Amino acid sequence: MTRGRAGRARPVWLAAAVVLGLATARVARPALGPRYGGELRVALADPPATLDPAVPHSLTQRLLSRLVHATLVDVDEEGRPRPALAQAWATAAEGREWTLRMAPASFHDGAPVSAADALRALRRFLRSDSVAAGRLSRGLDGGEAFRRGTTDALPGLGAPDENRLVLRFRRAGALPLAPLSSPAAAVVSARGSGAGPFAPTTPLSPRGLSATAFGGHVAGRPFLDVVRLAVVPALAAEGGLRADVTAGAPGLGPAGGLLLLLLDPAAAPFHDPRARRLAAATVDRGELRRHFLSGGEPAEVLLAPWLLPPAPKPSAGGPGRSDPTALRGRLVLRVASDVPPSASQRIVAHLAALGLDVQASPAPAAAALGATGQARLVVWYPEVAEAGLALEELAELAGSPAEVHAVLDAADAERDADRRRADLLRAEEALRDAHVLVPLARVPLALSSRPGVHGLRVTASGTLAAEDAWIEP
Amino acid sequence: MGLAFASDESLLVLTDGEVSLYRRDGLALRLDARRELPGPLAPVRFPGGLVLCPEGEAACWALTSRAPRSVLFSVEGGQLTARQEAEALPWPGAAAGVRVRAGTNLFEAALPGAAGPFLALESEHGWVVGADARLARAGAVAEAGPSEVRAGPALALVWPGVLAAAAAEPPGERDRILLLREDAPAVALAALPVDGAIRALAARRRGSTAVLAAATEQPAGGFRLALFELAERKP
Repeated sequence: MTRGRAGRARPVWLAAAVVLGLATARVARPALGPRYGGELRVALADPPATLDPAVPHSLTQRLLSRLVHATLVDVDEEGRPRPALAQAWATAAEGREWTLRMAPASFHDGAPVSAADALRALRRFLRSDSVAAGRLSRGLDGGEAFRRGTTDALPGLGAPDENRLVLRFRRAGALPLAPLSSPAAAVVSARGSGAGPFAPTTPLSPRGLSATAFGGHVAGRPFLDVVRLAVVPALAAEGGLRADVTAGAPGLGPAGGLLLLLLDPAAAPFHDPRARRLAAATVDRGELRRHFLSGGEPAEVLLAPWLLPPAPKPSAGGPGRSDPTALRGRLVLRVASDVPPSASQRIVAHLAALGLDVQASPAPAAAALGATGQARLVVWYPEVAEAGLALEELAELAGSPAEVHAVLDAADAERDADRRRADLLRAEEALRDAHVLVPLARVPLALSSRPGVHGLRVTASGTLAAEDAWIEP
Repeated sequence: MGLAFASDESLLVLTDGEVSLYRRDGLALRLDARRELPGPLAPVRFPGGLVLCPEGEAACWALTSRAPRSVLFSVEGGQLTARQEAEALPWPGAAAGVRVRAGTNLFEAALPGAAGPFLALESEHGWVVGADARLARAGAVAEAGPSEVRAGPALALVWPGVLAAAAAEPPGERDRILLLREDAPAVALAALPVDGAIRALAARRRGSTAVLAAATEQPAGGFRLALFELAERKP
């Protein structure tokens, strides 16, 4: 082959063209890109608490968990497992035994990910405060006694060799592997390293974290070289920080966060079910969405339609004939830091219009969700984006009666999709009718990215997934 | 994804983990042979590939970022046979050949006057697309200065004097093949719109006509091959 000098310009004509399809299944991507390289700077308000696998209760924790850790499986929009650190699975014993085959992968510290690591992760997970772990423990052979700590024996879980993990259930369930996708079930090495798409390069501090692309990630190296997470407590004062992703409108879609008003049925004034019904039924959700929630949607039901398609005519119901027309007394409303201020002001005004003397008390997102008190206003995302587990989490949050849990148990055992959906709809309606959980609106993740940043994805669990993000050159 | 003509009638296509040989009859293509690349193949979110068929040799080198080594295939009688493996893909002007940057679609090569990594390389006249999407010509940077022309991840020399390049456009369902005059800097002559995103280009010329092959990734997934017959405009 020889190199020639560039000749004079040669104008060209297109004479003809044909096309031929190639059967290669891949997801389509933009013309230029994705592009490898670059740094993504993310400014967030809440300081991170830990890098250890745990149930994340704030946006910062959810982001960190997704950056640094990997789980055995992910779940799709219908709650079915998708490969992650486990690349395949098979079932036996009429659906009671599941064998997971580990993918060839490694941790950030270079150690290979083995079934023994997965076993250790699930044993830790089963004793965590995760609702999904509770569900898993009730299904696994010996799981409940192990979770209670009365024994260290766990016959329902075993690793016969380096590549296989076996789960034995007491009965066949609908989606037995879904709990394994909880961030609290992430697999870490014996030395505590994660296997997520980015490896931390700085220790976690109240100011944030830096992480670099991990070449050994099970799905391949992410596109970005570096993600820098900067915690900026007062985002309004972040003028000097040049961030690619910051808090702000219009938010990153889809609108999957549930703006939720939690009313305490054990404390006045909402110990009276009629007071709860009045507060729930008189909120103008359309006005809230139109005037106070950019990118939001009114929410009449507790779960997003992609998690649980609603019954044909879900209704929030109206006040009963015997309900009071006004309420009296003092109310402290704890407002989570990730609730849009305009929305919280509107809810305060609504409760005040009912006759309550309302005092809004701001709280970090994680604290507001775990706190007790007369009323709380939070943005809620499920720990695992699967309808049964999400409703179980909401039932825990509401302190629901045993009947609701019984319906959810029945749904967990139901393998017929239509009958299971009917059970879940019954549980959702029962939860909603107690008016302890008042769905108000669905909101997008309260972050925005600058032009030129592509591929950032918000999961149904409210996590910002950065592994497919890339930046235009 | 990579494309190269092994002869006037043979087109070699590198896709995810395999190489295919197509026979061209005018503007029709027929699959002659397909071979898997030797493994193990690593997971790469957006793999890059390069195919080089040296003129006059019935053989082509293929390199993908999913495999640790490049492979030489013989192309004879409509058959593909793996003959040899190498650490790097031999490349004109690059003494140590071309390698992939692990886990990416970027190529590393020591070319005179052009600093890598590269999104695309063209073997005859030394054109490259840098990781910043800037089009440059190896060895010409010092005299011409950096080019302001930007291109996507595919290049092919149509004739001496005319270069085809994928456009450097951000997300969209359509893409364009830019036909550029080989000046310093390159000047756009024309653009051919195509459906999908261009991932590889190859050209084969015979006298005053040329066939340009484009591999495009489709919005719904999968790839398509498009052939364009180009002719010089007579004055």
